[in-house]
Amino acid sequence: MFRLQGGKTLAVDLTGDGVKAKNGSMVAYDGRMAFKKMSGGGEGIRGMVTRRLTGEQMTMMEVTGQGTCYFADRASEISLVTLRGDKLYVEASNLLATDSGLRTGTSFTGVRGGASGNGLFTTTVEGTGQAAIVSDGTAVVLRVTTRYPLSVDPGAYIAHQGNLQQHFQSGVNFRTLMGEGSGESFQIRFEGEGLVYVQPSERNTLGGDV
Amino acid sequence: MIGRRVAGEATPLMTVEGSGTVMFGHGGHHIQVIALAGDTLYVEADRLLAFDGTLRQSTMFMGSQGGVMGMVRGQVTGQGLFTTSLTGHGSVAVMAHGGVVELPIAPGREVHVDPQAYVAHHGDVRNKLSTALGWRDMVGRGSGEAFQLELSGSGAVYVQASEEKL
Amino acid sequence: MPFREINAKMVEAAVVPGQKMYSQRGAMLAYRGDVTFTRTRGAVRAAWPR
Repeated sequence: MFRLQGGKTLAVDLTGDGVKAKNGSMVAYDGRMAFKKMSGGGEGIRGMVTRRLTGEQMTMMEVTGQGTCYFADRASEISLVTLRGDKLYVEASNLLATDSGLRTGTSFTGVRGGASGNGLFTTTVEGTGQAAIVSDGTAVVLRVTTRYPLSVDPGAYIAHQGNLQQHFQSGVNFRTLMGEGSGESFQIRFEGEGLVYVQPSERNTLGGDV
Repeated sequence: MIGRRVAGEATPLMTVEGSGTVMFGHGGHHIQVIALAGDTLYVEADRLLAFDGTLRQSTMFMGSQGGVMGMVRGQVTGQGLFTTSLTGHGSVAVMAHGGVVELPIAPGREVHVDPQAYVAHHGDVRNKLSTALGWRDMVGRGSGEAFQLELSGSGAVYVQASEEKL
Repeated sequence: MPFREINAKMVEAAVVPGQKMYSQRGAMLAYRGDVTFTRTRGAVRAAWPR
């Protein structure tokens, strides 16, 4: 059972079940908990490669027990997402926690994705249950319908779910032309039926960040 | 950051047109929407997020106006060298850390503001930079500034609620 | 046209044919419809005291 305490702390009540959360995100707990470090990114060779590329900070840990645990991520705003048998695609660094029952994995977004600072891989969360995502500023959920496709600045994109096709649309946000900030001059265009989560900020690129 | 400004151009803008809906935001900053009803808004160019195309705009380099203030503000805040004025009827979205507070200015009721907290003002307002004993102890975190901006006339000033730099 | 506050850090505006809007480059987070973003030429070239 996921609860928000203010916009920046996630409280998860456990009664013998578990929660998977980003390494280092637990701030407190009460009751009795057991911790298990999970292999992030999945099993096998692919998992190993993913971990190498995404770094230690992307690994998840599993917490099981009785009581309440509290998670936060550098005072970022937290949004709760409910999955009903569908699949959520979320930037690895934006996934805070998921119900243990949800299956997490990775999806390769392509080289272009890497250039935009979004990373080569996106995390997928599948099944029925709750997930918590973080953003720089409260995220907004935008609905995409067949009649109304949506274009999103890659730095503002956090996650999406539903029956959506995404492709990179060369655009004119021309930060590159001015030589400042992130290097992308394109948007991500979503078509189909689903939801896209957007933050009121632009993520730094891999190159631009410390 | 200053180096970029030396090129003689304030924060470059983009023209948005067509048919649809656009969502604006930047760097996770708080946004304040100000509605102009025929008067003029003076706002730091760096703080302008978006505005109605029908508004008449002009940008001034503060260094050429009230010399000392431009220099001091440039030194103190690292920004605020350019002020944009917007006149007419329309809506303006401005960035300010922690939101803004609107303080009315009236004859006989001047308002004193920490230059770092100044966001924008509107109306027939004159500003004067001065030093005041004791001011440094009240504002700033030992950052060295002991200047206050005194605004007089008739209008209002928007002050950001937090002292954090934009 | 007024800017509608979606939350404390995001605003939304309707773009209508024939009506322009200006924004700081990089301020666009997302959009729907047929909207173009082009560089504003010369509109804010400031007076430089030389």
